[in-house]
Amino acid sequence: MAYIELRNITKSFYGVKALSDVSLSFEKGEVHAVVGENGAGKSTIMKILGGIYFADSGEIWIDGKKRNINSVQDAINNGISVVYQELNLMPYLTVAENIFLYNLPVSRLMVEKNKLNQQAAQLLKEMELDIKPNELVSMLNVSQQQMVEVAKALSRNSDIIIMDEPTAALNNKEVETLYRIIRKLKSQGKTVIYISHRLKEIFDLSDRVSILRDGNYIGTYNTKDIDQKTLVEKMVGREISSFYTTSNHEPGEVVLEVKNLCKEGYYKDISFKLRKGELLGIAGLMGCHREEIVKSIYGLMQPDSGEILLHGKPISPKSPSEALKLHIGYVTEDRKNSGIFGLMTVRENLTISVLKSLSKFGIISGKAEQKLLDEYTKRMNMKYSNAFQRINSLSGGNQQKFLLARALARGCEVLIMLEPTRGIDVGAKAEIYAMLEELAKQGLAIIVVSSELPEIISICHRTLTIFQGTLTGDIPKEKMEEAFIMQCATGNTTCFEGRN
Amino acid sequence: MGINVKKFWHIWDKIGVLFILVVVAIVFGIIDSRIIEVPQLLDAISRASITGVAAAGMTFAICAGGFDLSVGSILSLIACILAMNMAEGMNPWLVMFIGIVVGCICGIINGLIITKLKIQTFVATLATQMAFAGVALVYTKAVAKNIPLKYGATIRYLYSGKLLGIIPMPAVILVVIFAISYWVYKQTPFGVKVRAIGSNETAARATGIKVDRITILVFIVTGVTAALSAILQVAKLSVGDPNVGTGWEINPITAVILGGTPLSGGKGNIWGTLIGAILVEFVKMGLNILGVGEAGQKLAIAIVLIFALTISGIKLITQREAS
Repeated sequence: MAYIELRNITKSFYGVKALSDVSLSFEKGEVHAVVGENGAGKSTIMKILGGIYFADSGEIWIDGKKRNINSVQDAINNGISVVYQELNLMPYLTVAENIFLYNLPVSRLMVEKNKLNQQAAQLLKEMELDIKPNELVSMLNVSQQQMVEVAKALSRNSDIIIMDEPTAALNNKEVETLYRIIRKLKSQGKTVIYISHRLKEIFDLSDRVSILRDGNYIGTYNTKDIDQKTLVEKMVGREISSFYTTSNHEPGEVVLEVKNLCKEGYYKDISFKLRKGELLGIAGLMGCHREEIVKSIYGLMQPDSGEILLHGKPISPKSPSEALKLHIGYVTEDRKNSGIFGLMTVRENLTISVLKSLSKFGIISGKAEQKLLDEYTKRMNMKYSNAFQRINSLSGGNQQKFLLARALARGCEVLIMLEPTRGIDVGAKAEIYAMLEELAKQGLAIIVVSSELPEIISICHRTLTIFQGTLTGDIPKEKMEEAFIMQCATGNTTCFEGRN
Repeated sequence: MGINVKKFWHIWDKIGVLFILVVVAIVFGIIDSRIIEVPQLLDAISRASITGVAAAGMTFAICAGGFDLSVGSILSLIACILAMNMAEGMNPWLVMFIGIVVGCICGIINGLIITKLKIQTFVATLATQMAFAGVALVYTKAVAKNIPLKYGATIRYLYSGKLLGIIPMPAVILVVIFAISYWVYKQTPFGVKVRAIGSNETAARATGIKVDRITILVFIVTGVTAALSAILQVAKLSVGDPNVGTGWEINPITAVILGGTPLSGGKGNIWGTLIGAILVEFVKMGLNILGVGEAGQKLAIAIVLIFALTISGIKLITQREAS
């Protein structure tokens, strides 16, 4: 009998079934991936195991006994630790305090600071992380915070560790560290349940993979017996002809030129050209400040020196509203915090950037708004139940389409898109790629900043690499392959053959 | 949990406070039918006008994720400006216009402090609350000013006059102000941008919304509506007292909260605010007729407020499960 068994779990929210009659089993000493599109029910099932949601019906069996998990505390007592997708750290507590928050060493009513820091240092050392236990969490970057979150889960010495998209914010080196940690847990006979959108990780790490679709259980396979294409097809429930679209048109004249752009503490001496109809990738490790470069073009940041030329004329946008007037569009990497207006309707989320042109005498025309929404819905195939639905309730992929539509509705010549497919499911990914390709074909100049190299390699004409704030590569299509881009992005080599 | 629950909360969000008002009216009606006669109801609406007008502006501030604690002091200051000048026999319409301009200037000051010095709205308006109150005290030398009968007729009409001989003027003004507010909130780019800022300020900036400009405008709205409240206040009592607004900002804030606008920002309920303001005055008036004193009235309003917020709390709990 399996070590953990979920039997016939059903869960609905407001009458909508999130899980229907799902049974899953996990063994000791295995890495078990759970995959599915957004909304397939992966996170719901993990939250049921973690004691955050309660199943409407069904049973959880661990080690041959039926368990009731009614709170986070119950989950911990049953040896379950969860690394959630959202970070749950206290920014103004130290790393050590965060890791052992639920089990602080206390003597005579006082926290034993030394013992606490020692314990944390020990754990961080075992994980081979270079993080100081007495540092405030707010001083760490996102990827370090993510690793602290992992450390927190490990500190309880649980038998079952669930990781929900743990690599979303990690760079390649840290992903390696995480791999090593996971393999070690496996060798210690622990169960690792691994949720990820990144198929590569699933094939690298997992022994078995279970697939969910629309709240239903589809099947469990030995990872070595299934290939990527079959897995994706089972996830989306239909055949996908080609996942990536390859661009084959020729870019036109130079639209945007960046010359010797510098910003103290972020980047220096950045120069590149962007052509009409070109898809230009920007790759680099986390913390290399590639985001800051494009943020400077969009007016979210001001460079110290250097020039930005649009059609040969120097520009210096001081704010996004100025950049938008120059027809420079932008789609954020952080949908939730700097993209969507969660409390507002899907329609308002689209029209917010063009209210002026939809108004007559200072009054917004609902008809014009609806027309715009219908137009983009048709073009981009967004799925929502009605125009007045809150955007919060849409899947990541649909939200992303709305953000892209918002930028396009304003009318842009240059589009900057950060992490175009972060946290969105495979089906929507393919659609976004096709859309970018189509937009480029129509003459839009697009900059794609992405941490997913396969994405850059397949959709971009050219890619830049940034290493510690300097340009180390301008790589033409024919030389774009994962290993070589990594070489440039880690500063081991340079290549400027893409320059023209 | 079914779809009906969701529908229930949707409706509650819109008209929950109206429901409470109706329940209160029924209870009062059973105890003493005089309370729910038309003249009494109109009187409650008239009394609600002073709080209500400023509360309309406050709804915008709270919806934008902010707060305006200075409206009480703006009320004091402008009431004094009105009384001091009208007592000198200046044209009342000109004085009222000056009052509104001063309200606008107070709002600009608040807005500039918040946007240019990057101080949180709560703290910034806490400071200007003291500053404006100080100005009012200096201006009047800390003495309340009466408007003599012969000069006060015009402004008094705004509170005690009756449109078509039946409808009290303050009720008319109140409804007009709320109709305009609702229209601005729903139909203009300004209204949408206020909600956008309250919902997600970072995203608003990144979307090209001029966040600073909209924020300053929001505080102009609270300043001007506070000035209009001051006009009604002086119209009612013919006095400009530099202390009249001390602690008064609590009234419009209570009305906004009762009306169902969450303090977290991003959404607002303009008509809810109106009903919230009327509910408070109605409870006070009803208890007054029943011979319950000020202490009892305050306690009753506290109970109504806690009750309304408890229901919103239940809503949050049931929705957290789902999100």
